[in-house]
Amino acid sequence: MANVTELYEREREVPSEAGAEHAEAVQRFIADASARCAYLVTFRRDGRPVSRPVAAFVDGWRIHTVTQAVHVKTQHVRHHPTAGYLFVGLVPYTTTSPAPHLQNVWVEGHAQLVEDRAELDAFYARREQVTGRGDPHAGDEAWQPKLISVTPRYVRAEGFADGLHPVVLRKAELQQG
Amino acid sequence: MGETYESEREVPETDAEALSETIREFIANWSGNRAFLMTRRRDGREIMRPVGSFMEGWTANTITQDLHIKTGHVRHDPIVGYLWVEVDGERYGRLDFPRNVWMQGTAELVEDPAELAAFFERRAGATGRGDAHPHDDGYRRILIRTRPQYVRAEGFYHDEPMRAVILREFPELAAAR
Repeated sequence: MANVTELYEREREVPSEAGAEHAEAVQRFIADASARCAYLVTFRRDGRPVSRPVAAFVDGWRIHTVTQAVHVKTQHVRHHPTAGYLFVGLVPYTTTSPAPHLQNVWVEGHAQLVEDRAELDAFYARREQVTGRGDPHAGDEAWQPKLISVTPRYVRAEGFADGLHPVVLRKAELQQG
Repeated sequence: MGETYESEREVPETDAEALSETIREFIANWSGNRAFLMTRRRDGREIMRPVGSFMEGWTANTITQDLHIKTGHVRHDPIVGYLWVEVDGERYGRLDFPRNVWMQGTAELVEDPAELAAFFERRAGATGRGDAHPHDDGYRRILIRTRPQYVRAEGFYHDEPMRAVILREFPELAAAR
């Protein structure tokens, strides 16, 4: 059995130049809604976090989730412009660990609440262009959309480099993408 | 607001209480799900990563070492969150996601060797897995012990699985105080 120092070494971040080589695969993974599920973490006024499953449209490294005023997450982002997404793969991969492993990507970033109708229309047009899904509620006056848009500052991905080594991407690397 | 909002509303409190034990059993089944732990840096920005978790009632336990970043995070900020995502299980709802449970709680670090030995003994009794590294003196074991304040589960409410089951009271913990 490996000793703990060896185990720790196995879990260390890959060197930044090697991490950058995986950036494209990480971005493709989070952009592929059929391959993963997504969870959005926002913060109450007292700082306590809340996570929930969400639909997420990933455009480059920016991540977008449609919401409404009535949802708690909308108020959270309005008062605390930091948010995180966890993307989790749907198919396990094999490791020596007894627990199942899933590819996963944590994204921490600056969250913006978009309420301007013209900006929302531009978002729906862009999403339709990429995915074929525009505004599914067009014409429904009861539907009052807003958009949470997150610009990443830090990304941590597992299941992309060898073994358990996480790939970590920081602001400078994310701005290149 | 409309149909989308209605389909995601929190379930009645009595229904949530009735599902409480099912949800607790779900997160305790470590071979059927993947756990992720969220901690926060000193500047408040959060990080999430996969971890092992062992449940005792509603208390979540994760073994760490002093050299891991999450240990320092918990030492300075006891607010943490766990997310459990089911592996190879049922899917539910419009997003076709696996069942999932979010738990926000307060964490403490257990560093006393006698308490840690007792923990490993209890874990060995429950799972067959005690101290994985009993002869490695280079390993300073620390236990992150988290008691919940808020639990949010999706995929558990019979005919309307997108409705969130939310638990705010944990009688077992109240009785222990």
